[in-house]
Amino acid sequence: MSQSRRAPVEAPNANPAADTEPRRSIGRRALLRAGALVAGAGLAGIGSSAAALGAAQNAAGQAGAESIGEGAPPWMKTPGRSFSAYGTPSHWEEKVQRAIPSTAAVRLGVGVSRTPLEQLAGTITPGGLHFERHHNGIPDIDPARHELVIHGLVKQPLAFTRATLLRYPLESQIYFVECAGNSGTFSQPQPQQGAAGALNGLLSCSEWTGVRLSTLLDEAGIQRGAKWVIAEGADAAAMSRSVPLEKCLDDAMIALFQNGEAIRPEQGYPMRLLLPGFEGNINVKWLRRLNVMDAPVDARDETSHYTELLPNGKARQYMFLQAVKSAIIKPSFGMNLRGPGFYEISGLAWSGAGRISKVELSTNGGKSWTLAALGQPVLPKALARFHLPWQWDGRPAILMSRVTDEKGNVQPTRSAWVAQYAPGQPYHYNGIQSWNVAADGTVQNVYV
Amino acid sequence: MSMFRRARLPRSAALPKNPPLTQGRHSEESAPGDDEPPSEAVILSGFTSLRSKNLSLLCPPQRPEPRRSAPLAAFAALAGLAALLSFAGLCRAQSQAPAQSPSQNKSAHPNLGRALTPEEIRNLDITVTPDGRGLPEGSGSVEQGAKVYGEKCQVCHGPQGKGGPLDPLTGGVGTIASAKPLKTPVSYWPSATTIFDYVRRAMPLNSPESLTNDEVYALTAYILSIDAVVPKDAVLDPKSLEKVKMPNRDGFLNSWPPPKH
Repeated sequence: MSQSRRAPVEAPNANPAADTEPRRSIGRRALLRAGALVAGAGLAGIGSSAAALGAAQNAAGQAGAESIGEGAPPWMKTPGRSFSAYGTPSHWEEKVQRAIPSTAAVRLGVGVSRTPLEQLAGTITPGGLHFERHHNGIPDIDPARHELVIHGLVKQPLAFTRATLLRYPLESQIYFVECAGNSGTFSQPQPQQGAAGALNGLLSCSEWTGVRLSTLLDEAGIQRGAKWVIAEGADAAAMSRSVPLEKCLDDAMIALFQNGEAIRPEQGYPMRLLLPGFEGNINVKWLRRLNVMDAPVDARDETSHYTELLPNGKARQYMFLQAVKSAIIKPSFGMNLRGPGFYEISGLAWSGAGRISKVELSTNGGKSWTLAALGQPVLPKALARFHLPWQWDGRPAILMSRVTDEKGNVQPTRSAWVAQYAPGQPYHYNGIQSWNVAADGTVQNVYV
Repeated sequence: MSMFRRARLPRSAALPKNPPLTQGRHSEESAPGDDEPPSEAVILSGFTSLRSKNLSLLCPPQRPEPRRSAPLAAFAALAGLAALLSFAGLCRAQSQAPAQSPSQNKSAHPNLGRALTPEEIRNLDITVTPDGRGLPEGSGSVEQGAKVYGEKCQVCHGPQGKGGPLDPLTGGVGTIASAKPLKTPVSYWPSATTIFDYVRRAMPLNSPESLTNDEVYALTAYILSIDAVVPKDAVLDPKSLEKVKMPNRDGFLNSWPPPKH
């Protein structure tokens, strides 16, 4: 007893070598005694070891338990809830949701939902917040009854179930997926006011795990004359796109996992085509068929949609690459500044052509530019997060970001981008975006 | 794991009948052909005397890659030579394999795909090309199409293809180069086969896969007749649909591949 009282008041390093053993044994004895006390008081189970620790500290002369008592928040005064088989975000964050436009009510499962970029951090999109684009709802596919078929100009047509593909060597890569129509409102003559996610949220980034498509095509044996692969989904629209064979033999993947778990139904369970850097639509979800052919097929979604109408009435077709692009997420519309002082400007940058090499920021509408810091690692065809500390002096400012990728592609100005196309052509917008910060701190989308 | 188990099987049964590794590959419809490389037994026959069950357990044989004869033969020759020199030589040859990238190492290929029969593919393949390949047998007239349209399509697309809650199917011909382009199948889509293909695979929205091929030909004819791309008495079938010329057929520039940087 006397030893247990004495131990805490000893100078910690008065005689470390001599002190070590006795102190350890005292601790054990105190814990045992305290545990017996707690058990006697009828407390048991999950709370008992924590209570024992508190009692031990008390017995050792520390005032810990009492000092916590009065001011402690309620969640420290009662055991927390128990385990869950599959966790969910904190209910305090329940407003962090995908934005579903009102038109979705008319068209049911036809349309989009957007990732709330302004509510997220880092570069990985949680599975439940990945943007959606469906053409007739989300199919509920039984993986045991689903096969991916490869046929056409191949020596041996083959079929693969998810279970079969799981036996192949799997690789994991972090890639963004961006809808060709993302940021399409910037093609309109007047700037639309909306949160960063409302304007740019047809954009997500995940770690995808799956089988290289080239492995499967190699197994089937590509025949001479093959140039395109027609991909088809098993949804109620049997969504179909023509994919260049060159891409299929490069970094294309049959993705089975998304951020470590089986790919979500909204993203193509049990398997999807993943074509890094290519427009979202061509990354065919619920993939059921790959038909190796000599030519593309003019599928509906490569004619009526996702083609770039030019001022002369001609349209560019089979433009797949999501070009170099960035957007400031913080601050953005809806995140008004609370007076002069320190703010961090941050946002996302990406390029379908490879790695981001630099992001420049302007706080004066493009008159001067400063290099932003890039969160590491910067990966090819993945989202990168940029940061810049900023002291706002309270005067009106226009914030802009401009990114350059490793191939030397530079994000164009909005006016340069718009000039290439017919009025209102919404696809593949990658021009510079500008947020105006007014003297009262309100943030608005402006065209510079 | 399965590789080792296979190696312990009698050689005569090892390759063709082992289900996990050759699943469906040697089905009746796809018996090994002349383009396939020799079996494992043939490859290894040069050093049979050196090979025992234990040896194959320690150094699992490189699995022949059925349709890649040239690189395999080269590797087999190397492996065979090494084996003739010594047991250790064989193991060394294989232990050096990781120097190859996984994609180059053909022996690492799982080869687990299930071989498909031509009939299975016929039942799956609904691809239709702009030059008419893949169009199924069947036919339908504008008149028949108008009837089906009234029953199954009008509720969404409106009478005669306009005024409905969903996409208009008519109008806009000649507007594509104007300040207000209206993109519809007849004003914008370059290929008539796309209408057939899309209706067959995706329409109607509330009951896709429910139309007969005749109905799809008829609906294609009806939609094209609204803007007089085909006459009111047109009947479409594989041959006539292939010949339909869309107003905006020259309006698209194939932009693949993109310019190199």
